[in-house]
Amino acid sequence: MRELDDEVLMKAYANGDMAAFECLYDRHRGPLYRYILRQVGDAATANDLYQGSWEKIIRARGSYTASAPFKAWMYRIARNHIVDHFRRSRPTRDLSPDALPADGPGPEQVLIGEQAATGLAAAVNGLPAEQREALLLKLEAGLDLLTIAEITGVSPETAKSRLRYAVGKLKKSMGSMQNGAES
Amino acid sequence: MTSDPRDTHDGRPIDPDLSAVQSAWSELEQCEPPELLDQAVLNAARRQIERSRRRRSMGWLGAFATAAVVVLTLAIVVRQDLPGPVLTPPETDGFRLDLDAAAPKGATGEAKIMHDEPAVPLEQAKRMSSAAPAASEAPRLLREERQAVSPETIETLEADAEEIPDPEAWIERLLKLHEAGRADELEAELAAFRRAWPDYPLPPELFD
Repeated sequence: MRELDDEVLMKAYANGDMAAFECLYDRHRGPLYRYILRQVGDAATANDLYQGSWEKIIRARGSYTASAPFKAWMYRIARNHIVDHFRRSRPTRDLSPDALPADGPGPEQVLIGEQAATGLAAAVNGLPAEQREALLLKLEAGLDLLTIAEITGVSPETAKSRLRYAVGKLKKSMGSMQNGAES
Repeated sequence: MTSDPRDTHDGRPIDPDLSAVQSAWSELEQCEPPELLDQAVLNAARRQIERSRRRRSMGWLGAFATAAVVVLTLAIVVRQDLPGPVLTPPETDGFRLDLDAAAPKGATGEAKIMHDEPAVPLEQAKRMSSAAPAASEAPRLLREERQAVSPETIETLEADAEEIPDPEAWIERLLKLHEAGRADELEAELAAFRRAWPDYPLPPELFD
């Protein structure tokens, strides 16, 4: 069971194989949880969204086609769930770019402000939402550029540029962190 | 610099520093979902599978019931269209039973009297007729009969006639109430559920 592809496992679960789901869940629980947690920032909301995402995945099992990569399908469902949640609750951290502050604290400021205690995670937290989202889909989900573009509903060029900006800012932050540690 | 060959676009890497960020990221503390959350997700997955199984097992019953209804309806329609059996007197082929001739002499008169007399004497028939309710009194009697049934019974019957929700949907509603911590509503809903589905298994997390 362990060596089977996600797509095969998902189809098996759709046909009633609970062991297949357990295997699939075990494989993706950590990355999906961290993706959601880093996106929303607080554990209580992350827990709700995580459970809700899986419930949606479970309910949609009949409509899943093995031709589509499972991981991309799963993260699309989770992302939609997060977006819906923020639409409903009108949070301070909306995922839509329009709702973002034009000049929020950059990753460097976040690092300085939090005295690098939370390090890279805090720096990621300080990224603009759309850059953070693209980066998390890369770092946590391990998705490729085209899939990230597809999930986030932008062109590959836009996805690439978001990633590059995010990586550039984080690189700077990491440099500041090292300099801070040396001095 | 990039380790993943898919991390390229138009043949160029996304960013040469991506792998450095990736390796730094992988050293971060790996947060995991709480165990209770794992259990809740796995339970939900299990419930859905059981629900599908039940639905599938009930599927043939539904098809069978539909087929039975169709067959019965067709049978009734066909039977109504067919002409009823024609009752004809047995063929006598010219043979005629002469009762008068067969009867012994002197009995003819008595037989005639018996034939002319009604089976029930007239007085008795009148009494029976007056004891039976007249057709015009039927609605009044029906009203009286309805009044004899208590309003509670009518309420119960009406409640029974209402459609009972699907148990799985109901359980989901109960779980939501449980999660929301609405204890009073949950208790009332649970009681109603138990009335409708006395032997239906409830998920253990409802009692956590």
